[in-house]
Amino acid sequence: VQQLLSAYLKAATQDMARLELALRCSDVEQLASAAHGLKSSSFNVGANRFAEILRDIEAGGRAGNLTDVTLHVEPLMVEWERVRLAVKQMLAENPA
Amino acid sequence: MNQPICRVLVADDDPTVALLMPVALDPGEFSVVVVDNGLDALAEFKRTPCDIVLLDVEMPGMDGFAVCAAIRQSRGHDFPVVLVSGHRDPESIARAEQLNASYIAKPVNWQLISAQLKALLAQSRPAARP
Repeated sequence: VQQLLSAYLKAATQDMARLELALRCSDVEQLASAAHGLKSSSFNVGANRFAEILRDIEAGGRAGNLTDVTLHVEPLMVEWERVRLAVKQMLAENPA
Repeated sequence: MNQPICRVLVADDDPTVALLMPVALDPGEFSVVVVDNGLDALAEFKRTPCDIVLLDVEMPGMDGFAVCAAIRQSRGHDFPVVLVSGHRDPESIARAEQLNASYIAKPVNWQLISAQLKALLAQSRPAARP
């Protein structure tokens, strides 16, 4: 479980950086791609609410609808912070 | 008599899949090799014999559809290939059907994946795997 959470946190941090860059550049293709990858791994670790927001962002990105995507950005950031802290806490409480 | 070990090649760039798949597929029944991109998937497929291939659709280098098409060229229409994808749009499913590939939607149900693969293998080789 520790290995799984650690791998997830590393990949998710990279994907979130990619997603934020895509948002700043209004690059809907990169945005959808980053959201797509992160969505799957998030479901795999049980971060379902975060994954569902990513699903909405991916759909908005694929539709080229930045206005729709923007609506989901704040909830995404709030949920990401929650997931990130929870995973870090689990890793700290159960070191490998 | 024991069932032969089923050799599974998995291609997915999600690191959680690389960790979960070998656990979800009982090592007593499956031998799992995981690669994280389409080009390595094709290279591994050519290098090492396997019984079934699971391909993520969206991967760096070469996507799952392209890898599946290359497998069809080298091993024919009937070799078991499964496209595992979060894309649920009709176009993606139709492309999988055109390639005679099975389709499993993400998120993967880790409790069911072993039974799903066994069922697919039984369909593809009923005489060899009753």
